[in-house]
Parts: sequence; structure tokens; C-alpha cells
Amino acid sequence: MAHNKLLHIENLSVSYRVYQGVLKVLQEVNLEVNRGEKIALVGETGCGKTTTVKSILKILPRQAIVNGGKVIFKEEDILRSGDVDLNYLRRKGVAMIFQDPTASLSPIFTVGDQLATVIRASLSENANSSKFKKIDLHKIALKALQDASLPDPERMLHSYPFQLSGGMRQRVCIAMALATPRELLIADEPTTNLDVTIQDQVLRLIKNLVKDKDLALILITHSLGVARETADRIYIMYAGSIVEMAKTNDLFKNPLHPYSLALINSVPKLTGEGISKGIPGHLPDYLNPPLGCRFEPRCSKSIPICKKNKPPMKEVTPGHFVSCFLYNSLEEKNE
Amino acid sequence: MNEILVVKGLKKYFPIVSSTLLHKRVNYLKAVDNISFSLEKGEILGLVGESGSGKSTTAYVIVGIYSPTAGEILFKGRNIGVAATKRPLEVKREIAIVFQDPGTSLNPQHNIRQILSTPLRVHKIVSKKQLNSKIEELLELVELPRSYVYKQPRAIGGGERQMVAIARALATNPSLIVLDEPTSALDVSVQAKVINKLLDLQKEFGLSYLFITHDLSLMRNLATRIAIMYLGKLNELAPAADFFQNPLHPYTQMLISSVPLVSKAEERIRQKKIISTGEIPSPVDVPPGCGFNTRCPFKTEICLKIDPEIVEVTPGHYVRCHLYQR
Repeated sequence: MAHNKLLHIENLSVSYRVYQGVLKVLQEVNLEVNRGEKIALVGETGCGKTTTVKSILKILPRQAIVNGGKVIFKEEDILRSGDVDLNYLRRKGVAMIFQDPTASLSPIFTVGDQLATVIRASLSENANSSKFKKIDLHKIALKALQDASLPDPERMLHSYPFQLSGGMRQRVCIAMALATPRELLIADEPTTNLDVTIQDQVLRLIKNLVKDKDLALILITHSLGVARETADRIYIMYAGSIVEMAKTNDLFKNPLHPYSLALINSVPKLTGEGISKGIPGHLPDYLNPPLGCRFEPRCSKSIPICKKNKPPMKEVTPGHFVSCFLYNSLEEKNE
Repeated sequence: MNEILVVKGLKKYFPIVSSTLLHKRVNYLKAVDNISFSLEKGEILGLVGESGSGKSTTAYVIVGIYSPTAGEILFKGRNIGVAATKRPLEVKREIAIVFQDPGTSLNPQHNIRQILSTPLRVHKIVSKKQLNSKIEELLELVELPRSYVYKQPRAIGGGERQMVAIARALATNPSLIVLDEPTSALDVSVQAKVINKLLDLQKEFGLSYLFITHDLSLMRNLATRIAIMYLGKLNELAPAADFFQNPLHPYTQMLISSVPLVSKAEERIRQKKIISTGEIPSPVDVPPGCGFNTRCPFKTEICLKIDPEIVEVTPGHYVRCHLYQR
């Protein structure tokens, strides 16, 4: 399995400097992506999902401080690598799709121009080379738009982003991300701004492309439904730490962490069982987060130790990890 | 006659003027095009549709933000389909609205006391002396602590802000509240709290809700009846259980197939899978015939030419599709 590992985040902690002090957001996050695997990172607003993936590409805002940990992509620690390696990673290794396609496309260049820039940068050996012929760029751009099942790609190349609908803009972003060969695709809430029927189409497109091009996928979402229908493995995140990780089926069959359980219960169901109570309280203040488990103030099953120590990640059943004192790991059970 | 609101043949067109030097041409964006429905006392009617389907415009016309182009709106038997400024204050008091984003629907310069006292003052609900106790009472209704009175909207969380917006809507003792996607900006755990509160309030005061959303799973758990809008027209209207067990319109079937689900039990409900294709056309240039014909897997010759009429297929279940015309 070891050689299969594409990305490995180890004990990553990230804080943000603000006027009042330091926001301790990420707390020892561990995450693994194997080649060709689809994982989802699920959590509510402000839990650090985007911070986690931004540190993979090293595009965190200036206020961010990486307190410790490693981000290993193909045996290379990104956080300690220089500009050359970083450039290589961004040009060839990892592609990212952002939440708001309107904000991530420039309104003053045509779709074709923007695609050409990406392709030129990604395929050349150094970012400034201009040895590409226009005709090749055109061919690759056209192919990328066709792959993203955009209607009438020839016309699309000459249109501006504001002439397209939201769903089409997101498809253009997908085409841009996957125009050239990559190994990992990060999709940060790619369907949040879209209608359900369009969401369905875009997710299907991402799934098909990931399969055809044999990519690994990190899907960030706040919707458990979207995660369930896309990913092989799901990480649940709460207040800057991973609370549970399991194969998709295991997680929905048998959610262990009180937060995952409450979150799944909060989702309205088509079966019409009524609406659950929700989760009392709100996210902890990142300036002074709880010393122990960060979910403790809202947890209905908390025990005294939860206040003092941060629960370690335990493997409760094979492949199902949870960070909670209520459960015993496999080794503890054997004793 | 238990109907609190009856909408008959409601239309709202927005003119789009494109003028060159010599010509002036006026096109119309048909945001709401001839829809009829009714809302009974104590009922929750869900109005579902994609962006651009005209669901918010319908809400705004009912509340009186826009005046209708044609059609009648009967509120407790009284026609209120006139220009908003001509609407009697009494009717304005009875119909309240909660908007989608509490971040923009609450004045950031005002504190919560000012926000809640405005409707009380305008409609002269309480005397000056009782103002403070009424505001406390309103905060209590939505379970916010009294200390919030002097806070500003930006100082409190998104869910709490929406609670303030709900308290503001309740201030005038309305009998109908229009909820325009009140929870789509919130996380699911917060959404559950807000929805529960809304359901409690509805029972306590016998309120009627016109609930606008794009979230079908949420509707399943709330609404007594559900209406689907597409390009300014109603496509299907049915009681909630019937709507999900036996969706008739191809668009409804497509919508239900597209909902991401979290359990196996739910998957059993959506057995027929219609794969979603295409996008909603621009409401400025609606295709001839049935508006859905660009995406419909069952379309025939007639769909391209004639727009179907809405018909009652089983009691209370209306659908607007050529497949079910008699």
C-alpha cells in the first residue's frame, strides 16, 4: 500500500494571525489520499476544510502560520520545498476547482485565452516558454471543453465567462483544471452555488473525468449527500480536527462520533421522518478553543476526560477511525 | 371557506427595452406567467424551483414588493393585487416575509432593538411604554437571550440572525408568513434548529406559511402541499406524500432523481431515475410549446407546439404535461 500513497498530510496545524490574537484553526490534521481514490472532506462552515486543502497547494493567505506538520506529495514535503518544486506541483501535479466559478474566471479574457494560459503554463518546462504553436493550444483547449461536455465548444472558446450560465462556468473551470494531465484534483465545494439538477450533472462529470483520467480526488463539501454519492472514503471534520474517517458505506451504516451522528440526523430525509433537533450551541471560538475535545461543549455524551485531553484517532473496526474517548481501538479491545 | 390566500392567473412581466437610434423594441421577461394556487389556513405550501423559475418573484408579488401585471390575489377574500403603495396598512400587517440572507436583510447599522421596534412602531402594535417588554417577548419567542437587545447583526451567528429576522416578521402578529429560502444560507445543524422553531411557531399561532426553497428533502418534512415552478409556470401541485410517492411531471421526476441522499431507505423512494440533462432556458426567450421540452426525455411532436394546460389527475394532484392530458 505504501507506494500507492499519493498525498499524505501529517499532523498539520495552521493558525491565523488576527488583531485579537491567534486563531488556532487546524489542529493536527491527518489525511491520506491514494492513487485513483476519491475522498471527501465533510464539515460545516468555518471548520477548516478549505484551509486544509489550501495548505496542500501552499496558497494560504499571508496571515496564516503553519505551526507544524508535513504535507507529503509523492514523497516530497511541500511545506519545505522551494519555489521550483512548488511551481512543478502547481503546473503538473495538482489541479483545483474553486467554489465560485464567477470569481475564479477573469471577466476580461475569453474562455479560450484563459484556457490557453493554463495549458501553456502547464505543458512547458518553465512557465515563460512560448514555444507552443497556436494550433496545438487550440486543439488541446477544444478537447478539454469537449471532455467537460460543454455544448458547442468552438463558440465557447470565443465567449466571455459572463455570457455563460453558472453551470457552464463551473464546467469551464473543470475543463481548465483537467486540460493537461494531472495526478490529483481538489474540488472545493464545486456545486454549492448550483441548482440540484445542475449539481447532479456537474458531479457526474467530475466522477467520469476522474475515472477516465485515473486521478485522485479530494472533494470538499458540506453536504453529506454529495459526499456519499461521490466518494469512496469520507473524512468528517469539526472545528479544525478530523473526528471520523471511514469508507462511505461504513460511515453511513454506523456513524460513531457523536458529531457525525448528529450531523447525519440533521439532514432532512426524503422518507419524511421529520426534522431532528439540530446540534445545540455553536462552533468554539478559535482564539481560545477548548483544551480537550473541541466538540465537548456541544456533546450530549461527554465524560470528564473529554474536557482535559484531546482524544487520539483510534481504529475501532478495520478501516474505521474515530477520535472519541467513548470508543476503544482494536488493540485495546484485544487486551 | 378556509382559504387564506387565493392566487388566480397571476402574471408578472418585466419589460426589457432594447433601443437603437431609430427603433425601440420592448421584450418581456415573463417571471411569473399565469399561475394559480391557494393556501389554506394553518397550511405550509412549499414552492420549489430552480434559480430563474420565478419563485421569489411570486413571493414578492404576494408580499407587495412588486405589483402584479395581471391576475388576482385574494387575501381573506379581499383583492390585494394592486400596486404595493395602494395596499392598506392592515393587509401589510397581516403578511410578513423572511428573506434568504439575514446578512443583507437586517440593517447592519441598527441594533436588534431598533430592528424589532420598526414594525411595532409603523403598525402601532404597542404603546411606547410597552415597547421594551414586547421586544423581550419577541426575543423569547425565538429563544434568543435578552442581552442581545443592543447587539448588532454582525455580532451574532448566521442562525441567530435568521431568528431575529423571524422575530421581526412575527412582530406584527401576521397570519401569513412568506419564507423565501430562509435556511439555504445556513448549515444543516443550524437549519434543523431554525426549522423546528418555525414549526413550533406555526402551531402556536396557527400561522400559514408559503415556504420557498430549492431543497426537496426539506420540503418532504415540512410541507402539506408542494408546488413545482419552472420558467414562471406551475408544473405540478400535489399533497406532500403523494408528490414524492407518485411524481408525475418529468421535471419533478428529474428533480427528485437529482437530490443527493444519505440513506438506503431514501434510495428506495427514488427508484425511477431520470438522468438530468440540459439547463433551464433564459426566461426572456422561452421555447415555444412546453417550456420543459428542451430537457424532457418524453417529449413528442405536440410538446414543441402547444403549451399544456394544468389538469387535475387525481384529487388534489395537478400536473401540467401533455402526457396526462385527457
